[in-house]
Amino acid sequence: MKRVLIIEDNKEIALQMEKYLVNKGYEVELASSFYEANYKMNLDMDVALLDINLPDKDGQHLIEKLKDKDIRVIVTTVKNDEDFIIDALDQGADDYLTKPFSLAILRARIDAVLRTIPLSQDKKITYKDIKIDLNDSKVYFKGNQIDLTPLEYEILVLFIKNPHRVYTRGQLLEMFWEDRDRFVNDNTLTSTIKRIREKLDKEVISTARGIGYRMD
Amino acid sequence: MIYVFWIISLGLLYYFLEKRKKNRINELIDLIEKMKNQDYKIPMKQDDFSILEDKIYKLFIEIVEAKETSTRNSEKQIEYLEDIAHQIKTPITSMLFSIDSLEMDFPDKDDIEILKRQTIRLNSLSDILLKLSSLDANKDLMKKEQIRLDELVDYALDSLDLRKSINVEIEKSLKKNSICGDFYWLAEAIINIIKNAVNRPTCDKIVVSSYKNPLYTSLIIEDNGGGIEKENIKKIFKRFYKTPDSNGFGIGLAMAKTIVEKNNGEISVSNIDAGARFEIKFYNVT
Repeated sequence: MKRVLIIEDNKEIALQMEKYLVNKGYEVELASSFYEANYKMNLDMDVALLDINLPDKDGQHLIEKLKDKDIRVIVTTVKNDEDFIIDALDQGADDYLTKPFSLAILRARIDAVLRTIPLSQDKKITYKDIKIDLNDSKVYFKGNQIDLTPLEYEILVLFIKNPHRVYTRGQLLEMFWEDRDRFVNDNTLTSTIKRIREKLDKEVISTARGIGYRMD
Repeated sequence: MIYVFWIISLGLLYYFLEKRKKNRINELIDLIEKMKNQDYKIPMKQDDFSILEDKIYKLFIEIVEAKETSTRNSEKQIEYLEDIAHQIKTPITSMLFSIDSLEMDFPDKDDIEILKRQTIRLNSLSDILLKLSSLDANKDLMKKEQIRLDELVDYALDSLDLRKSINVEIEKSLKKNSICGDFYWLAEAIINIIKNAVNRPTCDKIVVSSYKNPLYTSLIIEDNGGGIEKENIKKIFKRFYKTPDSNGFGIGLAMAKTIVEKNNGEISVSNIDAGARFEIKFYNVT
């Protein structure tokens, strides 16, 4: 059974989430402060829902600690402030939700961060309509082989291996352009993603507005 | 002979005094210019002009202080507004959770659907409040970056998630033209213009084009939603103005206008055969 740690100082919201998740078959622990969370993260948890605005101490400091314990982190916040969310993701958070969100989406996101795509024995990954053969770096979409540049291929593989995970623009630029020794700006990333979409399907990679991209 | 000498020396004296006066006036102008550029050095000279100089100096400092206080106050006000808008989100979240569980218990109650719709509306109102307050802030929040029009429109369409029945045509001219401004805010403006178009029930096509002349670069968004009634065309950019059949808040286009103007642009609307035509002109400023 999946164990969820809800770190949230608003009691009502915490209880509502708990009730819903317990109903759906999750085990839930509640923590209403930094210190309580600091203690309860040792209880063998799988996912933490972390409200960044905690009363006693900035919740941001918890992200690293949770990740050290191999707990997936979904940050919840009322701040629809891109910089704020990007900071949390850069610090290792796996996903974010901006309040208000629906309980059904909360559950879907919890499942998503826990899901890893298994690599079959012959080193092939399949996700929805996309199939990638890692042996010969070939990509198939709906059965047809697609020609991708090495860069497009690498980006697609990253997204397929981590579906639903948001990557910030900064993270992607750092991962794929850092050591390529050429001039890049934000537009380079935008147009690379656009080309991948054009070669596959428009909805292959979705935009998290102002933040980055994810594969849904 | 002596008279001639007298006249010449008087003339010389007059000339000398006039020149000194002129010099001092130039110094005063200099002082004002310097203070305009935030170089506040206290003048140290002692003569007939120094009283005037002193007054100018004090007046300037007073103006600067008053300006600082008013900026501080408006920043504080924006902070309060942002705080409240954020605080509203917590009860809204809790309400929506309750509505979620009510929906599961009573799946066919219409009242719950209404409750949900209105709560979501309340939430978007607080989002708008946030956006407006940061837009109204007098701080220089618009970035100045080089933006390619095709990328800007792509991004806006990407965030919009339009229904599939709408056909968007982007002309090639967008690829060649770029402007200088704030990418995310301008995308917001374009999102609002397109939203306005697709909210018309008959609209199923949008054409985006652009052209450039030495004075400005222009972005044109045309729809086939039937156009705007004559009596509304003047009011369409007014904040909180909306047509009776609209289910928005009457803020989107007003916000688009503010954003465009803060980016050295101008927005106008006219009717074409099938619908409305929005034109944004971005002036080339050097």
